[in-house]
Amino acid sequence: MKSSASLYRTLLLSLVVLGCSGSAHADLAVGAVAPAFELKDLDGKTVSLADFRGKTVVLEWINPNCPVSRGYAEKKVMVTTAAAHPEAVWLGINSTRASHEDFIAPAAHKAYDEKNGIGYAVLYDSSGTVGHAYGAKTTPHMFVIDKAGKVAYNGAIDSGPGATSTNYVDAALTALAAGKSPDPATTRPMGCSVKY
Amino acid sequence: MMEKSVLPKLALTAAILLGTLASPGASPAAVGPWVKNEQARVRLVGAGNELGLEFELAAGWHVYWKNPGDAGYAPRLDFSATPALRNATLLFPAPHRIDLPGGLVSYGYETHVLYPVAVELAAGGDPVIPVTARLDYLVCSDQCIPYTATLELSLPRSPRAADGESARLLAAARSALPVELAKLEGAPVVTLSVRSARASAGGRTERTLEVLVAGGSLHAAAVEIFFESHPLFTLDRPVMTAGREGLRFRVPLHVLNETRPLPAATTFAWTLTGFETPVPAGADGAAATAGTDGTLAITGTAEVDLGASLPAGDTTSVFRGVPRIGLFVVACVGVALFLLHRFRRPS
Repeated sequence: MKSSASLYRTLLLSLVVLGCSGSAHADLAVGAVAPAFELKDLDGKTVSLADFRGKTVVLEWINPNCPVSRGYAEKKVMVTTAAAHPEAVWLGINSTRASHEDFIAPAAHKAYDEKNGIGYAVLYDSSGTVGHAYGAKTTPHMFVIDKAGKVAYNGAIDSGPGATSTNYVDAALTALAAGKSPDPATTRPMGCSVKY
Repeated sequence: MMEKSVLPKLALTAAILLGTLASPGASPAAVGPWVKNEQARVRLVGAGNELGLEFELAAGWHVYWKNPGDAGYAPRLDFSATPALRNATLLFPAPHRIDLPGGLVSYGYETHVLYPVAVELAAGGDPVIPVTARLDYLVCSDQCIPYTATLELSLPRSPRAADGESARLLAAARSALPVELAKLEGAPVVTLSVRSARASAGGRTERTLEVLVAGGSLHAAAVEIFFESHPLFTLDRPVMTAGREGLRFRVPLHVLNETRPLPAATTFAWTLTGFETPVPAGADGAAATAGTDGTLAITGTAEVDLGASLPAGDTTSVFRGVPRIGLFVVACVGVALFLLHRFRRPS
């Protein structure tokens, strides 16, 4: 009797705890700890955020079938910004769900990366778990994580189309390298919606 | 063989002649040529200092409001190639909510939209201004495609020169613009407040923007609320409840940057859509005109106290501030404690 009551109690308690912990997805604030992740790259190798502890990390939400994301790739904006900041680790994350028409196999992504000179790792997050943890909304959507593992910048790569454009991520990386806080630290991400 | 090759030539000549007749400068047309792609066609219309940027969209495609929502961006017009036009400002008709997969949302327009463009004309010069504008825009369905277009318009200086079509389009677009609350007769009272609560000492502060829409003579047909992008917060999807005191919208706020202190107060710019006027628009009732779909939108701004200095663990504010989350957490903890207690006792 006692053990069944104890089992019952455990069961009920875990139900209560599960019910209470189901929280809504929220946007990731600057200053918040960057959520940890472990994802596979295009070769199937596991890459985790913890691998880069102590380094500045840039996360770029990427989708080769999104014309905005592709436009930045073809104009070499990401590659140029990454090359200007060898102190930072640049990672692409593709959160397109496998059943979406935008989804491409890792081999096709590799060809796309080669064609556009993308030398940084691209990680697959087809379940969208990491995308939701970061509140990634668009491709591209950029996050800069500082050496302490906290979000230092959340937003767009630059101020968008038009004759003059400011590269916010370049500015954020330059500020961090100089020991300063990025300003702006948040902008509105612009692009296609992430195909969760 | 000869006949076959002559005919197209004749047709071509005729087309060139017609084209010349209809080209800018020959007659002050107040409607520019469409620039087309698979998803949309777009043109400038206008007369005098009143211009419009008109889109017709293929089924399933949309363009954006000033706050595009989770993805996208509003059209950007650049008139720097036309020095006779100054201080061009794109104005935004009442937006619609467009739901996207993954819980994302966009604010914009489907099927057709005409964005009015307010401009100043430089003094003097020809009666017709050749206008060239660079347009950058994003058109989306589930997919998004960015386009850059060059738009042209032979703009008559006199607003009276607008032809029937452009005058009708501009008038409809003007009436689809949200009306400023202060300028609207019979408008409801719109009250904004931010409720703050800390679930525990040292815990994260939960903030909810509350908007109460009460009174007035307008019929609240299918009211929705939209906000402009905010520099300090992202705003969750509003939850509306209709009660005796009016319509209440609750909007959870999330701080964008935890490393910077919040000011004591901040401004929210809101737009409420979907009102209906009880009587048709009066003869000179600019304030009581209705948009193209017969509904009326209201817009306003409000400075709201952020109540930044609530004491930690203030239970009053937990109950008052976030009744849904606060009470739920309290109830869960209560049930858990009760169960622990209950099943421990028999031993």
